[in-house]
Amino acid sequence: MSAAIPMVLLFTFVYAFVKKVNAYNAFIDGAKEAVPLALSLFPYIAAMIMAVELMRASGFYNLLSLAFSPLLKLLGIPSELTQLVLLRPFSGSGSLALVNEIFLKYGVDGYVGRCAAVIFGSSETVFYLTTIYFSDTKIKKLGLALPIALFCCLLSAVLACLMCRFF
Amino acid sequence: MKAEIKISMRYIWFFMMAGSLAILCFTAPEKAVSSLTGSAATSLEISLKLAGVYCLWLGVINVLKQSGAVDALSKKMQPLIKKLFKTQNDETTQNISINVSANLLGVGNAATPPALKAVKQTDDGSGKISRGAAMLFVINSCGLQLIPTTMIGIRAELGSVSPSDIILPCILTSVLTTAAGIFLVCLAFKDK
Repeated sequence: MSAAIPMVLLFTFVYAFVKKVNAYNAFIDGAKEAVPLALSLFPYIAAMIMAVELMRASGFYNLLSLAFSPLLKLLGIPSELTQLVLLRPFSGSGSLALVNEIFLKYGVDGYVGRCAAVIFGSSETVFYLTTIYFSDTKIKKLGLALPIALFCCLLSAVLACLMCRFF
Repeated sequence: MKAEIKISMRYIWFFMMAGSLAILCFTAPEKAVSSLTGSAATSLEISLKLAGVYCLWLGVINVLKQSGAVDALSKKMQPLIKKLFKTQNDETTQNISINVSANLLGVGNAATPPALKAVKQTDDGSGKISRGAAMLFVINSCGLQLIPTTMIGIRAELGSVSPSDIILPCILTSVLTTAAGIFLVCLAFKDK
């Protein structure tokens, strides 16, 4: 399973060799875009990370978790996971750290631990995508796209907790 | 349904910043600036790391493009992409097929650059999101992947009895979520 990506990479180079393509030059050409792209994303990443960190430092996150906990419980999400469900759309690294904490606290193979793993594994950092996907365009009006993405994010948490009861 | 739903980064960011700052002003005002500068520095670190990761994947993607592998892949996926994203453009189709494949393989960082290109290509300058861009954004937001490698790795490290027993619930969850997302985008963005 862990060989999937190395195999794709091996295929990349062997296929290029067979097709008589100069993989070295092609790689350099493609890689040239990397630094400008990452730099252009920097302000978007910074704005998001600063806000997330500020919410944590101020205790705003805990407050929101307390407020949302009953609602999420109604949807079948245990209160141990409220913080994770709230943080997941904002920060990938932050929620990964949270999953680690949950694993250590409630065990990797328990219901809560497995739910946390499935929630993390089957959702995305929606707000991060929102800030960067449209960064290089004139698109300002997202219409219903963001509400739909957020709904899907919540749906995945609800389904994750449901699936873990059966599988 | 017709009522305008004002959820945009503008309001969300304001809510996050203003809410936190308001609390900090009363509880621990000394934390505000140090937390902001600290996380701003962290963001630069993350961006630099990202530049490295993008270097690898943009390089590899270009090798696959030059050798014609991307072309072959996008020809296979074209019927599906045409239907879902309503795009005729070959280059957009290529970028979307790289994005979807990279997501399925669980390499999110390889999926991002082609997605940005595809979104840019669908931009008509009107300021409104196109159906194709909305579809791409929502599908990516649903986190569809075949094997949740990160989670399996961490669970194995922490001594799980069967670290990969989350594969099935993960796939079921993300497939159902993605299906719901596609359905909702089709409803919300009628074909022009």
